[in-house]
Amino acid sequence: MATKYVVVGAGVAGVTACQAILDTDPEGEIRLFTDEPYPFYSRMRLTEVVSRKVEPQQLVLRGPAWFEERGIGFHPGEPVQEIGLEPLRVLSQRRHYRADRLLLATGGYSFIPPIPGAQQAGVFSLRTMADAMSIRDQAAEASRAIVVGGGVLGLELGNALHARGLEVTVVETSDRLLPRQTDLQAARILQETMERMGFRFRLSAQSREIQGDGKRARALLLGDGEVLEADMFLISAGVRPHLELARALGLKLDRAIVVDHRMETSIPNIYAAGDCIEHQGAYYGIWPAAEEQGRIAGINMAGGQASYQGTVMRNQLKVLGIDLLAAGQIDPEGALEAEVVSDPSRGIYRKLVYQEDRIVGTILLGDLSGQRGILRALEEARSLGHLKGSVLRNLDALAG
Amino acid sequence: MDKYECQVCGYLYDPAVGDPDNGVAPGTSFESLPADWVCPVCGAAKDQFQKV
Repeated sequence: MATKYVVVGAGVAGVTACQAILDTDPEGEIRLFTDEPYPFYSRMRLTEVVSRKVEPQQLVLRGPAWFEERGIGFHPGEPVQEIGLEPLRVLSQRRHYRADRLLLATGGYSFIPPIPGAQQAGVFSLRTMADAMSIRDQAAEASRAIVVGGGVLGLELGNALHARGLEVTVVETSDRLLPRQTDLQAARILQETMERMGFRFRLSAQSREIQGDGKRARALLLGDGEVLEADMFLISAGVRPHLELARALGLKLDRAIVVDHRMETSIPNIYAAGDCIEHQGAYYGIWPAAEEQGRIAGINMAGGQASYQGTVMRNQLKVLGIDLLAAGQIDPEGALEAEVVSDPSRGIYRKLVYQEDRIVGTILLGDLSGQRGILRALEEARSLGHLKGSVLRNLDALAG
Repeated sequence: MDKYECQVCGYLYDPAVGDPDNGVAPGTSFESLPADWVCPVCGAAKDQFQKV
């Protein structure tokens, strides 16, 4: 009898798992459930919907036909309400579906900090296609936007609204923008470039309250007493894992669902991958990690053997034509040795962080040349010997 | 020669530029890229690219 696989969540982890299951157990019966009514799309490009660079349909990566052609039961707009054990089954839209193996790929949600007034009309966050379309539509009636959170998504969202002609102010609690992808020097260069293009920043700034007129949000009160007025407010304060189903099951949790190197949870035959999991204490929240985890989960679920060794943390940003790549340990405090080439007048800052003679992290701003070689050396923890300290002027020597 | 866009992350492969970091010289058409070439930004495979 064919093995029954149920996958909860149609993001990159869930869909990649479906492909891996198919490849490993072609006779398997797969069902994929998602609460979103849309087929699998590129979440990374949602800000292009906001800027109107693309129509939502253009972001679809795997439509209903792809699932049908492969005999995968695709259930869009059908959230899983409950999971039962003995026998393993999911409940969705009042129907039970048996599963021999289950994958939780429920992803994450955009965290809204408990700022008074954040529930008013005019306050948005971006995680789903529906969010992107709402923000896109609202931007047509707005002239000023405030983005709370100066991380990657906040800046990309601010960039998209700026492209729509809005005046954008970014409010960030850290002393620099992109606190997890920059050190002070890189952040300063990026901030100056963005300010020249019309962005405003408030750093080391607490959001005390979102003030409104009773109908909608109108202003943000900062910790130092400054009041910033705007027509729309975007909260971009990080991604938290969706843990409702996991909690109800009593799965082992820390800050997210705990999985082993096979992506299995504390209950046998229940696996998890993507933005809902943590592995060896690491929570990623990035697409390439979710993709790899989904692939490995799918292989193991279907009877194959694969082992997850973690993913080198990396983030890439492109705003206003500026490229930024940050990977590994970026060492903002300057505790480790670093090799730096910078040209602030041209918006360039390139840093390699070393431990002994191995690259353990990098920030590349304004010039990404050599990124593949650098990332490979980082992933492999390659010993560079005498090359150490002169890599940036000697990129060809990194090939290998 | 046609440009191809990565459907996952939006990276644009321009044959006139190639992908020198990965040993692909300028002037290399998308079609003639090796089958295991992946998007330099997000790692997506060739089948996730569309001609623009």
